Amino acid sequence: MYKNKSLSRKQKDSITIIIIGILIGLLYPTLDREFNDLGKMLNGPIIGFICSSFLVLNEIWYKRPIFRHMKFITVLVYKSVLYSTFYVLTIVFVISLQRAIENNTNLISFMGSDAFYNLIFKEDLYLIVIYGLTANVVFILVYQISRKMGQGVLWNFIIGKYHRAREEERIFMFMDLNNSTEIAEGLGDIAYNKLLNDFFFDITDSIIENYGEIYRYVGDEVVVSWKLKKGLPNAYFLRAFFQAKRVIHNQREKYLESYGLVPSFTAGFNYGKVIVGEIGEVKSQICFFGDVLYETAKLEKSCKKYSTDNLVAKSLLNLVAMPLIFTVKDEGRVEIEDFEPIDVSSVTEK
Amino acid sequence: MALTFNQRVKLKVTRQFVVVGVLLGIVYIFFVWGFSDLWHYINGIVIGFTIGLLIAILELFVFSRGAKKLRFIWLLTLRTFIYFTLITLIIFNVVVISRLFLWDTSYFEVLADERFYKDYLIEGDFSVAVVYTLILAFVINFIRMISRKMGQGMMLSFIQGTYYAPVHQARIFMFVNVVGSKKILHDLGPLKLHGFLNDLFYDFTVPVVTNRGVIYEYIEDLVVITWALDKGIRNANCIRTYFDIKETINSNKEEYLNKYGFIPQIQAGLHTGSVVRAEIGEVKTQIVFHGDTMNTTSRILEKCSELNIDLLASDQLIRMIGLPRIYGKKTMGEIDLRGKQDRLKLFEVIDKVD
Repeated sequence: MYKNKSLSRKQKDSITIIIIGILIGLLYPTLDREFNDLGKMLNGPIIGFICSSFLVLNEIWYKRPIFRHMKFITVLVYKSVLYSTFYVLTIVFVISLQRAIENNTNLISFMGSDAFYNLIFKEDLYLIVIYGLTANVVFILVYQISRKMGQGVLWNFIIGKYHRAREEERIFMFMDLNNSTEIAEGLGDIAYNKLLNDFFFDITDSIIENYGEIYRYVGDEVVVSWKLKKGLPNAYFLRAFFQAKRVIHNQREKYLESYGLVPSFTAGFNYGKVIVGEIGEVKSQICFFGDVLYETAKLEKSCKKYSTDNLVAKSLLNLVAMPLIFTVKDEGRVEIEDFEPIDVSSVTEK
Repeated sequence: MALTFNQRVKLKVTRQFVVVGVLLGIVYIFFVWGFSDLWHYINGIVIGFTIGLLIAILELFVFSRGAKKLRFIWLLTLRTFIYFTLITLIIFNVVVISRLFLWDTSYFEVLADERFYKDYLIEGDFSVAVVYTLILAFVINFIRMISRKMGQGMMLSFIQGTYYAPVHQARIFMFVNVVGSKKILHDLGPLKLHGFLNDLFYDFTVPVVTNRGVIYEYIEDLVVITWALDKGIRNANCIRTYFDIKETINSNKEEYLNKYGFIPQIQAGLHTGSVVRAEIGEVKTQIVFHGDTMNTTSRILEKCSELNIDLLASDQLIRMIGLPRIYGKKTMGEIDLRGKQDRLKLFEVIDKVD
């Protein structure tokens, strides 16, 4: 097994969110100007910390596959209910604890007293809860949208990383479903769309776990890219492809029963310099430009001719310390109209 | 007086902003004062109304062209800051003026009154209102700007899950691309190509939006524009879009010539038919169109470059549209399309008063 280092990314996200949570918690008593009341000033950040930690655990660390097959709005409602319950409980608990300490009693006897009744029904508890939930809904909305837009896309838009186009060296994988025209005709539009959705869904983890970034889906094709230093170690870009193959193979029964076929796919790999830049105004995309895109697409399309399911540019393979599990076979040279021909190899897994 | 489409859009946006402003004003007063005096509510409504109106004016006339020049984060900061300043000033003045009536004094006497500067400004809820404004200005701008990045109607579709399950739709598609893009890539190199396409696609925005189209996607140098059937047919909107884009490019031709050494020429294929529209993908989700219509449209565009024709439309589409008098159509007869069994009747559409 190779090591998965995506942990550090998760950790970074978690810390950011918890800090934001504490700040939002601190903001509430600040707005109320309770500077003289240390208890109240402390309650805010403590509640912020507990609630944002819960959020982090829930959103980042604990993956629930059921969410994948739910509508955006369903997820939003479900989470809102979950969080509101948790937040109300936390807020009541923390405030009660603080009051109990202030009044030198214990939590249980405080909860039995009139002061507790006042806290729940007479004070600004409902405001605190609404405040927390609003912050929460905004956060989840942005988080979900960020997921929809793709890995890092929202963040890159926000900081304007590609507002002015920049040059990057990237590995590209074009992956394409075999015989898609025939499949589409056989299944009809709706079922074909479901097949594609299942297929893309099943291969997603393989791509992400190997640090690939899904650039876009065009028809039955998915374009994935790696920054050179992310894709090369451990031949991650190749592993993504073979892991996807294994995943589809493991799911073959499901596909056969639902669609009467098991999808097979081919992939082309190449690397090169691309220009990455934001494009468009009323709809913006972060786009890649460069010869390597044409070349990789062509490699993918040549797979059939070479009767292999993958073609990798030799120049790319030369950069990789090839893991033992892969065998490389020379496939000659692919001619590309308007471009230099490319020496290619195919890779198989032992 | 009949309003142009553009003016109607602006009016609609203004109305939305004003309504949201008034509602937020009422919500704020409710949270701070509960069901209290009427004059709190009048203040809230006046403040909300003024702010909504001001923001609409800012958005429509000041910020509308800023997106090209400024980074997201700077534009967001600028917006938030300007909104914040304006809103704070408005709140301040509305409150002063309302007290002016309430206490029956003059503007400056209100300012000097201890009940005002001490009880309201320093110890009262003015600072809370200011922070509330700042946060709202930030969040609302942030979400609106992301929504714009995602494309027309995309965020709403995602939130509602409209296309979560695949849906059949009859739509019009226009595929537009630049003549000789591969040569342009070779001549300019990818960096300049990006700048060029960005400038070019920028010129698409107004023609597409004012003709009720949706910019669906950019694929390299190809732009996919789509209309709901009725919106595209009415007023021959889909055909007008093409010629409006051409006109926009034409009016900027000197800039293109100076910056890139040529004036871009665009070709387009227009077609209509049934497609499946659905969300696809998980860690990156796109709303995609699938179906034969998409393939056919792209084949029609291929024919454009083969026959060197600017705009080709399919028979199905032309039959639905009452062509305005300034445009003419020329039949190309039945044409074989690559990968298609049936031949398709195509028309060349031209601007008669070019």
